[in-house]
Amino acid sequence: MAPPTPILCKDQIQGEHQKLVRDSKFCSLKSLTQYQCNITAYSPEEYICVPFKRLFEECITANKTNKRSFDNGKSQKQ
Amino acid sequence: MQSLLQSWVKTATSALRVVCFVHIVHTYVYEFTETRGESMLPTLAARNDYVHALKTYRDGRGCKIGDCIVAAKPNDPNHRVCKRITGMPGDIILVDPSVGTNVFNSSSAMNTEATSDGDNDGYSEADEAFNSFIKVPQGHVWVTGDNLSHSLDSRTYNSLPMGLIKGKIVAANDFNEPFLGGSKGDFWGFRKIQNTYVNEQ
Amino acid sequence: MFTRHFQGHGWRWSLVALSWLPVVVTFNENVCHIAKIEGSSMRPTLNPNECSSSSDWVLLWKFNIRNAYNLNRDDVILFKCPTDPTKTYCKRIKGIQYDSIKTRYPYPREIVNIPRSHLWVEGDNVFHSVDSNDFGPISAGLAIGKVIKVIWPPSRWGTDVKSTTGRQQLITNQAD
Repeated sequence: MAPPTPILCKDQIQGEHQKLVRDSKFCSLKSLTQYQCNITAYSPEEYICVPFKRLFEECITANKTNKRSFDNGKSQKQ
Repeated sequence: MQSLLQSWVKTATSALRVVCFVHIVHTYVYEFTETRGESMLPTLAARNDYVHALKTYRDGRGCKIGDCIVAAKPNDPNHRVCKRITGMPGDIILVDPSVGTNVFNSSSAMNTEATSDGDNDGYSEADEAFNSFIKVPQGHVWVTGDNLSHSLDSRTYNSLPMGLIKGKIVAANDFNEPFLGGSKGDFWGFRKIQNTYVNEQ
Repeated sequence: MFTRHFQGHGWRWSLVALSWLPVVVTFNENVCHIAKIEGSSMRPTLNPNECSSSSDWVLLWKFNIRNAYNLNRDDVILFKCPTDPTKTYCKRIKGIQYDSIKTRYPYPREIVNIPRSHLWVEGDNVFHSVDSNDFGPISAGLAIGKVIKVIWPPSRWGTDVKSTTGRQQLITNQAD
C-alpha cells in the first residue's frame, strides 16, 4: 500500500495547475492510448478492443522536473 | 568408486554454477518469460505470449511514463504483473477515467442513465470519476493495464513502489504465430513493445 | 618452462574462481548476507552508542523472506525504502497482514488495517525514525532480509535483536 495520498478534486488541483503553468517555460499536450477489450462470445481467442485515449499536459519547470496534469480521457470508436 | 563419486561431484558443482549464472542473468540483465492474463490486451496476448524483459530497469531506474514494466504484485509479492506506467512521481493524474465508459455493458449503462433521469440530480458515477485526482508520491509510479476493462492495477491497489519493479518489457514473441509470415511479424510474431506516450498534434 | 606452467595454472584457477562468483552472489542475494547498519533509528537495539564511530554489522537471513508467513512481529528487517528505491531502511515489524494498528502523528488516520502481504514497520528510536507512520504499510515484496544476529563488533555478540522495544500496544485487533 502506498503512502497515504489524498484524493484531490478539480478545485484543489486547479490552483496547483495554474501555478505550474505560470512557473513553467514550456507546456505541451501528450497522449497515451490504452484500450477497453472484451472477449467475444464466439471464441476465447478473439477479442474486440476499443481505443481509449488519455491526454496529459506536460510542463517543464525551472528546476527541470516534469509535471503532468491529466486533463481528460475520451474514448473513440475504432 | 572413488572416480565415480568424483565425477558426480564435478557434474553437480558445474550444474550449480550454471544455474546460479542463469539466475544472476535473469535477475540483473535479461529474462525471457511467459505472460498470462487479459490485463495487457491487445499489447500482449492472454496466453502463449513470451516477453523479453530488460532487468537493468529494475527498481524503476530510467523508467518513463508509457513504458511497459514487469513488477511484483504489492499484495502478493510472489506473483508478477505486467503493466504500463501512466504516472511518474509528482504527476497529478485522474484516478480512473474509464469509469462509466464501459462500452461493452451497454445495457447496464442504459440502466444507470434511466435511474439518474429518475433522480434528476444530473450527477452520475462518471462525473465523480472525473473529479478524483491523485498526486503520485515520491518513489512510486501509477500503473494501469492496457486493457482498462479487465485489469487489476493502481486503480485498485494505489501507486506501486518503484522497488517492486523488476524490469522493462522491450519486446515480445507470440508462439501462437507461425515462425515466418505471421500477422504480427516474423520469428513467432516477434514485435517490439513501444512506449505509447507520444506528442499530441 | 616453470613460469609457463605456473601461468597456465594461474589462468585456470582464476577461471574456476570466476565461475564460482555467480554462486556466491546468488547465495548472498537469496540466502544469507552481511550488512552494515547506519543511523540511529534502531537505537538502543542496533548502533546503541552515540559517540562510537563504529557501526554494527549484522547477519541477514534472506531465504524465502518475501512470503508473508516468514516475517513476524518484532522481527528486525531491512527493506527497500518505498519512497526511494535506492535506499535501504532497517526497522522493526510492528504489525503483519490483517492487523489493525494504532498510528502516530504524521499518519492521517488513527487506526490502519494492514492489507494482505503488507507490513507495518517502525524504528525502535521512536522520535528519530522515518517509518510506516510516514509512508504507510509496506509491501512484503520490498523486504530484503531479516536481521538474525549482530556479528561485529564482537563486544555486541550477545545482543538480542528480538527484544520488544519501541512503541507498545499498537495492535488493537490481532488477526490469528
